[in-house]
Amino acid sequence: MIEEVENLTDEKTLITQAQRGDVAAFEALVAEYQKKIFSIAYRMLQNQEDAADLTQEILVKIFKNLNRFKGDSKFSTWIYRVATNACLDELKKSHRKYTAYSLDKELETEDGSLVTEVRDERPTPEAVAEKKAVQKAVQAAIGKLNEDHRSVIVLRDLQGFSYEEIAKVLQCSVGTVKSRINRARSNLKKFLMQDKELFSDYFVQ
Amino acid sequence: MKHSECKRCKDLLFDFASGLTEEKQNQWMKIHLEECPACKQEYEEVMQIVHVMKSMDEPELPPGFQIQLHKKLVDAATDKKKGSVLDGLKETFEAGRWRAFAPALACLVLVIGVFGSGLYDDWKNADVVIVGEKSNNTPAIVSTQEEVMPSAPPIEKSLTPVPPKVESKPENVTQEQGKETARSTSVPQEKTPEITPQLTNEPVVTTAEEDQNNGIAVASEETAASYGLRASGGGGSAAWSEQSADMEEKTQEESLLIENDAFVNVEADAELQQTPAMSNYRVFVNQSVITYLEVCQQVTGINWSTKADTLEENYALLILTDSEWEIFSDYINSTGITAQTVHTGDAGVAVMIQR
Repeated sequence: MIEEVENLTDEKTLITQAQRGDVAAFEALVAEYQKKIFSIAYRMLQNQEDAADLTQEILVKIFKNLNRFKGDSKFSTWIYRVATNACLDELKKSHRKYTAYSLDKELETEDGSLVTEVRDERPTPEAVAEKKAVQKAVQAAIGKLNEDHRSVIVLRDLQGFSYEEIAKVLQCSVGTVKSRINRARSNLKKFLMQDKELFSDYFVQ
Repeated sequence: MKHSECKRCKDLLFDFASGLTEEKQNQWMKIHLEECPACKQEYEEVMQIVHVMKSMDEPELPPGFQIQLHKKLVDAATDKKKGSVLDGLKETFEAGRWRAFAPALACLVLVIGVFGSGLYDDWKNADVVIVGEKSNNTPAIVSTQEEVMPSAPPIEKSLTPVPPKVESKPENVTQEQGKETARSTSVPQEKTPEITPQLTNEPVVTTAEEDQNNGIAVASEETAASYGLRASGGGGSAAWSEQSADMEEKTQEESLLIENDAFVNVEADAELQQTPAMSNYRVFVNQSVITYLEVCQQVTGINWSTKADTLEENYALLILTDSEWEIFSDYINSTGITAQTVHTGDAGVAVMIQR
């Protein structure tokens, strides 16, 4: 508890310093967040290089706009909001780049057309370890989700945010978050089940 | 099984499988899954997915990430400053807001972009870079400044602090006080730390002719600070001290008392007073644009510190009146530096200066 209070004080001090343009203070301030931001960006954009660029862009943006942080929410919530919105913007901006096809439509039909359109991103078993293949498949499955579903899945199931946190980050109601996550998960599951043979170790049936 | 129960189960399933549900919910789920084969089947699938999701490694930041980020942040920190000033300036020009102020303030902006031109490096390495000539029309400046300076309001809130009013009380300030000021107004200059110690012991010197003293607003500590002179090392003022110290022994000391009680020591060069027209100014420029501005001030009598809107190591934005610009540009031309107009407005021009 005391430690937490100290941390908050530290954070406040660093924020004040960073608001005055102190780069070192800002770097200290975001040290614990940047990996998570990168992680979110990577899952959202599906590509390490783009994610690294965007993460830097996000952090610079946060640095430049730090004066807008008024302390109404937790600092972490604020920066994840900036980060998530930047990812969503980027996805919308380059929709084609990051999305293979319109997912929901395909799913609704459920006539198998998906299978033919799924890009074969599975690496050959000889080339990579199975775990890597599974991870890639999950990453690919996330990539097939639409932006909104992708963001809640990434925040909830990969980053472990609570519904309340996600609601604050995305600035919508907890109810919206919950229903969105449920739909996202159900879609994700469908995608993953199509790759079932990949998960022999995981999907013992 | 009731439909509503299965729906509830479905809602909780993923969180339950991830171990994120509360104890009460866990108990309810366990009971429901025992009773409902369909949900049990679903649960097993979800468990597998949760397992897969949990096995996802956190991606590592790519190598060089931190360094790249640092550069971008430093750039942003610099841009932030420049940006706000340039934006404000542009706004002032475009909105025609300057019209609201006295005609004497018909403004003119001088942008000195030195760094990119390589001039800064030249200065850094060179002993003697600028040899300026004193112009004959210096007295004209005095009257201009007397007219303009005291009443000059800020051009734009973010742009120009109100210039301090100057009260000339030549005998009021001692050398000791001058020294104190020198230390407190030192400007950061990381790149030449070795010369800092001896320099900061010198007084900050601005040279002006005796007959100009009344009209010149002199940099105060406060003003300097408000122009972004951060105190973390030696600096431009120190460089000027070096220059002055080097220049002449035959100087007579005078001081100006500024309204806000900050002091700047002024050395009036006796020789220069005798031959104002053709005195050469040898400048040891190894510091920054600030040093350059001090030279300009010495030659033109235009006090840069009250004119500078932005002051960086290699960049300065000056806001001058038309008549001041006339004098200033004369001097710039005499130094072999070319001035290029980058913005023209009714009020004046923004000029990029390159060597």
